[in-house]
Amino acid sequence: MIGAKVLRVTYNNINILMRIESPVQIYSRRWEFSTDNAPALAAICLSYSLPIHSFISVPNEDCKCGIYGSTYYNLLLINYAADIQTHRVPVQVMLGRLSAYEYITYACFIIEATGKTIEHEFGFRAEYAKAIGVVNIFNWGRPTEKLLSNEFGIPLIAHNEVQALIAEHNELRKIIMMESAK
Amino acid sequence: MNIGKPIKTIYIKRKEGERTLPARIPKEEPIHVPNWPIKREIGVEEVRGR
Repeated sequence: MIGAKVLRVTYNNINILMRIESPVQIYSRRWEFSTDNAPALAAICLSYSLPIHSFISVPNEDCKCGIYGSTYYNLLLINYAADIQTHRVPVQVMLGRLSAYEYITYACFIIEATGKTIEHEFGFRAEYAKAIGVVNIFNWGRPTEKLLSNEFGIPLIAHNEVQALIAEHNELRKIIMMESAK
Repeated sequence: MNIGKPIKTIYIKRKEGERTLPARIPKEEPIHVPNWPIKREIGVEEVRGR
């Protein structure tokens, strides 16, 4: 199952890509980038305050844990409208008495979910996930996305084709599952 | 991310030999305590001794 996900990208002050991380996922563990050959990310539950469920059953039906993905691209754009349009927001980082600057942007990725997955109305929560593409957001051709696709060897996907790609892939998967069940 | 209400649980098969990243909980960054200048209050008796 595939979906779209917005992730935070951080540069340092010499324009070198530093890290990619999840902006607001409290219940799933920190996102790390993974390419085709690289291992998929595994989710663990961090909800200490909620009733604890088994570590094996992540994501759980009664919890909010898992790696989130959206199958409705337009809804994702609405939710992250402000984040997506930010470009190089400077953030001061204190290292004792020295200070350095980091720059934050956001990029939209296509992720592939495997393992235990809970389907939702507009998306899913997954046990394992892996980034398989970067969206060229609004076909702007920003340097961020180009850099990401070069760095990690994943394709740039046109803004218009994202929704069709997600829908096609998920429908095909359903058909294959139905046939294999027969 | 708003993903609505849960519908159903499915299990998607993983490729053979596909690795996963080990589980790791993000640590809290240690608070930096400056070692200098040393703020030591000199007691009254200590001053008298000089």
